[in-house]
Amino acid sequence: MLERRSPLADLIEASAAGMHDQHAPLILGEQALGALWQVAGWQDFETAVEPVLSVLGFAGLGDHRSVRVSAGTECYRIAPDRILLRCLDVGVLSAALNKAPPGRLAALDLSHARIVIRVSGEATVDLMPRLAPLDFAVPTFPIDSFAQTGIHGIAVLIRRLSEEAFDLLVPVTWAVSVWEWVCENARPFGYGVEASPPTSLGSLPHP
Amino acid sequence: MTASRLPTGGRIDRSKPLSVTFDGRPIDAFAGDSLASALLANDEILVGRSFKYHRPRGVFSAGVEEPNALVHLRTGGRHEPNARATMVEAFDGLVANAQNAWPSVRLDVRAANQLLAPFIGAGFYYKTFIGPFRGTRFWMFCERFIRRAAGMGSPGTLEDPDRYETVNLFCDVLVVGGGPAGLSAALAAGRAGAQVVLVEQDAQLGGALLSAPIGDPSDAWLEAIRSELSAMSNVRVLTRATVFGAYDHDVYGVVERVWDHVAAAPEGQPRQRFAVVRTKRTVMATGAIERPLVFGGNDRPGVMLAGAVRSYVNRYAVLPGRHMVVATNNDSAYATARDLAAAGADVTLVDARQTVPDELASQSRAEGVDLRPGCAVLSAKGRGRVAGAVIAPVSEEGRATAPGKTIACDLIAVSGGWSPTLHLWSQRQQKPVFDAEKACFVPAGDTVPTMTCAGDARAAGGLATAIADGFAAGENAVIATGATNAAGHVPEAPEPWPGDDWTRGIAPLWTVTRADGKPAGKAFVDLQNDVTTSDIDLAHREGYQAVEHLKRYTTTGMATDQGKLSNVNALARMAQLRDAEIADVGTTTFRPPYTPITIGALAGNETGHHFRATRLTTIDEWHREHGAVMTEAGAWLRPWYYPEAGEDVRAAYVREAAHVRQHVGIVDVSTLGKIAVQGPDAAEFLNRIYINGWKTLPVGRLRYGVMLREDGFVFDDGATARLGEHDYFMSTTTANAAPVLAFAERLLQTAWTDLEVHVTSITDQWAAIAVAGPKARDLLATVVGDADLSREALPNNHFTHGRISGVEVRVHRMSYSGELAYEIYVPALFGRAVWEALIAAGGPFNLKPYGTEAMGALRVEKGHVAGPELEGRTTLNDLRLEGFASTKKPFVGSVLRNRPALTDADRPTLVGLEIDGEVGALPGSLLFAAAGPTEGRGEGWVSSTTYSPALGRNIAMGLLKNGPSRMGETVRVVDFVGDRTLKATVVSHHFFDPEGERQNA
Repeated sequence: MLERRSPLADLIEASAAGMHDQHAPLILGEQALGALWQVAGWQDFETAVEPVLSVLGFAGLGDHRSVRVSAGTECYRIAPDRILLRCLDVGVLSAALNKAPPGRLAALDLSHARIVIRVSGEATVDLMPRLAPLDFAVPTFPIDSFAQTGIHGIAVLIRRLSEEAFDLLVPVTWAVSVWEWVCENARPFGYGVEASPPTSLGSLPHP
Repeated sequence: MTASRLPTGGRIDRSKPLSVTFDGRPIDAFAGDSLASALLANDEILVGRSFKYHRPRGVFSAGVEEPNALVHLRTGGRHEPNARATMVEAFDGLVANAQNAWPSVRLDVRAANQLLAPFIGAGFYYKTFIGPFRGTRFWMFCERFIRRAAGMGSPGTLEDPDRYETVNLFCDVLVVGGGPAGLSAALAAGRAGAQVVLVEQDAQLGGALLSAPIGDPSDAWLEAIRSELSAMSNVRVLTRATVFGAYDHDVYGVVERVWDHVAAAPEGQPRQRFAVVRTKRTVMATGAIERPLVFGGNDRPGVMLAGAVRSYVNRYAVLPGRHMVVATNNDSAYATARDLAAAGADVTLVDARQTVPDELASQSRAEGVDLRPGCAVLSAKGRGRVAGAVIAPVSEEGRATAPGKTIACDLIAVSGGWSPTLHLWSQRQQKPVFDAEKACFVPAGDTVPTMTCAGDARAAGGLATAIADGFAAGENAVIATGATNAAGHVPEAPEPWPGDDWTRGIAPLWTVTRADGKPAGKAFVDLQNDVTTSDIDLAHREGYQAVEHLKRYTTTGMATDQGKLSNVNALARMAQLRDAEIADVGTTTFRPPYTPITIGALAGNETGHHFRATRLTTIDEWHREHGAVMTEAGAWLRPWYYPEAGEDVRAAYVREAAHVRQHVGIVDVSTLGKIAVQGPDAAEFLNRIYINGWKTLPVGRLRYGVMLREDGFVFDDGATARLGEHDYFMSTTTANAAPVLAFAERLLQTAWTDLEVHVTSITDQWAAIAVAGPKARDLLATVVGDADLSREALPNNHFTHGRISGVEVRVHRMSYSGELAYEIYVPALFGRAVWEALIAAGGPFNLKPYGTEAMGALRVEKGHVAGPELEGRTTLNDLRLEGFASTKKPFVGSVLRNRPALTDADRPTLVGLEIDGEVGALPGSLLFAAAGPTEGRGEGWVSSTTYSPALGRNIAMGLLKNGPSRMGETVRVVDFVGDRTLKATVVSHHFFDPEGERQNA
C-alpha cells in the first residue's frame, strides 16, 4: 500500500526545518484527517441514520454548530439532512455504515477530499478574525463548536479545539493556497511550523 | 507675518525633533506635530494650488475636512497623492511635496488659468465648443491640455512595497469618535460589560478637547476617562482609524493606519488594516465640522477655520499669525480669540450678530480682544497670503450696510457655524433634516434603530451636554444588547466655559456681500473644487437647481471634501436664489467613503501571489519537478506542455500530440468536475438534467451526456458512470464544475423537491489520470491489478475497479483524444503515487506526459466540442449534437430549445476548417465567403484552432452559417485584430479517424 501524500507535505517539511520554534505565538501544522464520510438522507433522515449513529454512540443528529465526539468518532451536522463522520479508525465507520437501511441513506467517502490544518497558540485569537468573517470569541464560538465558512474564498469547516486551537478542514486541491494564506496572515505575529506527518490510511471500500 | 512656533506649550514633544522636508526644504518638526502644523510653524503658508484656477492656497483646517493642503507624500513605491497635510502625522524622514503645480507651488505657470476664469466656470466641461475652425476639432485638441491643467495629485506607478491586511471585528457597541461624547459612550457601555470597539481617527483620544490649552480643566477629565477605558479588557480602542462606510446589517468599514506614522512599517507588519466591524449597536459621536464663511477672497492663504487656529495654537504650539481677525456668527470662535490673545497676538473679533452674549463680550474685551459686533469680513486682501481684511457692518442677511474698512492682518480665522458630521448616519439611507435654530442639518430622530447619534453629531450643545448625551447613548446601546451591569454615573464634566455651545444664538450667515448683494471678489463656496458663488448662480440660471443637479453641474462637494465644508453654504446659496428654505433644497446623498482610503487597504493582502486562491491537483508537484510549463485554467494551474531541449510551446505540443497517436501518453485530468449523484431518484434526476436517457444505463457503464440551460442553450457536457443502484459519478468540464453543481442543487431545492437525490462535489476526492494511445491497454495491463482490461471485458464506455500499487482505482474506458484511452480515477492523496507508478511502468512503452495544449490539439483533430464551443450561445443544432437529444422525455431546456430563433436554419453551425498555408487561424477570427464584401460580423467565427500533427496541417473548428451544406467551399478567415486574412476549406469537424476505429480498438 502506498502512503497518502498531503499536498502540504513538502511545504510543511521545508517550513518546519527553519521554523521549529515551539514557543512561537502561533504554531501551524497538519493533522491526520483519518476517514471522513458524508452521510445524507431525505425526509426520514433522522430515522434512517439512527442505526448508524447508535453504533457510533451518538444519540440523535445534534445541532448545526456543535461537534459531537464519541469513542474517537466526530459527528458534524452540516445540513438538516447531511452529517459528516470523521474517525481515525476506518473499521469503526465501515461497521457503522453497514447498519444503514438500504436505499435510505447516501454515504460518500470524502477521506481524500480534505486535509486538516491545525492552528494553535496564544495568537490564534488574533489570527482567526483575519481568516474568516466569524466572531471567534469563546462565548460565541465555544470549544467543540464548528462552522462552515470561507477562507480566502475557499469553503472550509472550522472546528474549535480549545481556546487557542482550531482545526481547519480544507479541500485538498485548495490546500496549498489556504496554507500559504494562513501563513501570510500569521506573519505579523510570528509562527512556528510543526511537522506532523498524517497517519497513513487507505481508502475505504467502495460503497 | 509670521506664523511661528510658540516657545512653550502645546502637546508636542520638543525633546524629539524630526527630520521633515517639504518641496525639498527642511522643516522643523517635533513628535506630535502634524505635517500641517509643522508647515505652519515654519511659516510655509503657501502649500498648494487650487484644482482649476491654480490659485495659491494655504492650510485651512486641522482635520479631515482640509480642502487645500493636499500634498504628495513619500517617494518611490510609497508615493501617495492627495494626502491631507492636516491628517499626516510628522515622522522622521517624512518627505512631502506640493502637487498640482508646475514648476513649483510658489511659481505655478498654470496660475494663468485664472485669466481664463470667465470661460471655465461651472459646467463648461459639459458644453460643446464649436469653432473657431471647422466643427469641434480645435476643442478636442485643446481638451488634452485642459485636462492636464486641472486635477489633483499624480498617482504612483511603482509597486507598493507595503503590506496591508483585513480583519473582522465583532462587538456589542461600536462607538465612532473619541471625543467627549464618544468617550462617555464607550465608558458607559464598557462599564456595563458590553464588548466595545471605540474608533478614533486621531492618534490620540480626546477630540476637540485636544485643542484646549494645556492645563485646561478638561485635561484631567480626559486623562481619567482614558485611564478607565484602558483598564477595561472589554473595550478595544482603535486610534488612527477611520470609519469610512456604514452598511446594511450594522456592518462598518474601518481603515486603521497602523504604521502610517513612520517612514516604513516594521518587517511583516501591515501599514494599514481594513477592519470589517459587525456590531449590534452603534453610537455616532462623530462631532461636527466648522463651516467657512463665504466672502471675497476667502480662499487666500491665511484664511483658516477658527477652530483649527485654536488647535494649532494650543495643541501644536503654533501661532499662525500675529495680527488676526476672527470672524464669526456664533459663540465658538470666542475661545479662539481668547487663546490667540493669550498667546500674544493682536486680535480683532468681528461677530455678525448684532447682539453678543454679555459674558462673552466682557470676557473677550477683558482679555484684550477688539470686539466688533454686527460686523463681518467683506473681503480678504493680499496676493500670496492675507495682508488685510475689509470689515464692514452687515445686515442679518450678510449685506454690508456701510463701506468697509481695511484692517491690516496676516490671518483671518472664520467660523460660520458648525455642521454635525452625519455622513455615516446618512449612508444608512437616511436624509437629515435642517434645524433652522441651530443652522445645520441634524439626524432625523431614531430612524436607524440600531444607531444613536450623540454630542455634536446631533448638535446637542456644549461640553457638559455632549458628555451626558454620549453617556446616555452608551447606556441605551448596552441595554439593547442585553448587558445588565450598571453603567454608574455620568463622569462629571469639566467646568463649562460660556462659549462652548456653538448652537446658542447662532445667526446664520451664508454669504457676506456688498450693499449690492454681490461678493467683493471671488467668494468660494467649495475651496477644493474651485466653486464660487457665481458658479452656484450660473447653475441656478441654467436650470440646475435641484441639489443633485447642482452638485454634478458645479462639482461642489466632490473629491475628498464630500460636502464636509462646502455642502451647507452651497445649499444655502441655492436656497437664496430659489427663494426657498434650506430644508426644501435638501442635501445630496452621502456615500462611502467618508474620507479617502487607499486601495491598498481595501485590497488587504489579497495581492500578488495571494490575489486569489489557486487550485492544484495532487500531482502538481510532479509536473513542476519534471519541467512542465504551467498554465491557468480558471483557478487551476495545469501543465501546459513539457518542453524538451529548448522546445517552445508549438514544438512541444506537436511532439506530445504526435507521440500520443504513435505510442502512449499520460495527462493529469484531475481538474475535471466530479459530482456524486446519489439517491433513489438519481436516474430520474439525470434523465431530467441531461438531454439523453439514463434510466437504462446499467451499473458498470458510463455514458456521454449533454445538458442545456432552461433557455435551451447548451450548458455543459461530460460522462457519467453508474457506480451502483442509486449511485452515479458525474463528470463535467473543468470550467463548469461549480456552475453545474449549483445548477443541480438549485433544481433539487426549488423545482424538483419530489426527487430524493443528493449532489455533492467530489472533485477533491478523486485525482484523474488519462492514459491514451495505441499502447495504452498494454501498459495498463502491466500495472493494474485485479482487473480485466481486455477489449471484450472492458469495451468503450465501461469501467472497472482495479488496483495500482495496492491503491484501489477505477478505470473508465473512454476517449477524449480519439485514441485507445482510459481515465483512471484515484483517491486524491494517492494521485501522485499512482501517477509515478504509471510513469515507472510506462518505460517499456515509451510513455510520455502531455499537457493541455497537446490535449487540445488531439480533441480538435477529433472534433470534440469543449469550452470554446460550449460558450453559452450555442445550441444542440449549432454543435451538431441534436442526435443525442431524447424525443421520449422532457429535459431541462427541451421546450425553449425549439424557439424559432434557436432553430433558424441560418444559424452558424459547427464545421471543420482546413487552413491553407503554414500559418494557423486565430480563435475569434471571422469567416467570410471567398468572394464578397468583408463587412459586418461575417458568416461565422473560428472557435478552436491547432496545428494537427496527424494531418500535417493547420486546422480549426468554427461555426459557419449553413455550415453542413458548404462542405468543400473555400472561405476567408479574417483576423481583424492582427489584420490578416487566410483561406480555408470547409470540411467535417471530425478531422481524424471519423469512424472511431482507434478509440474502439
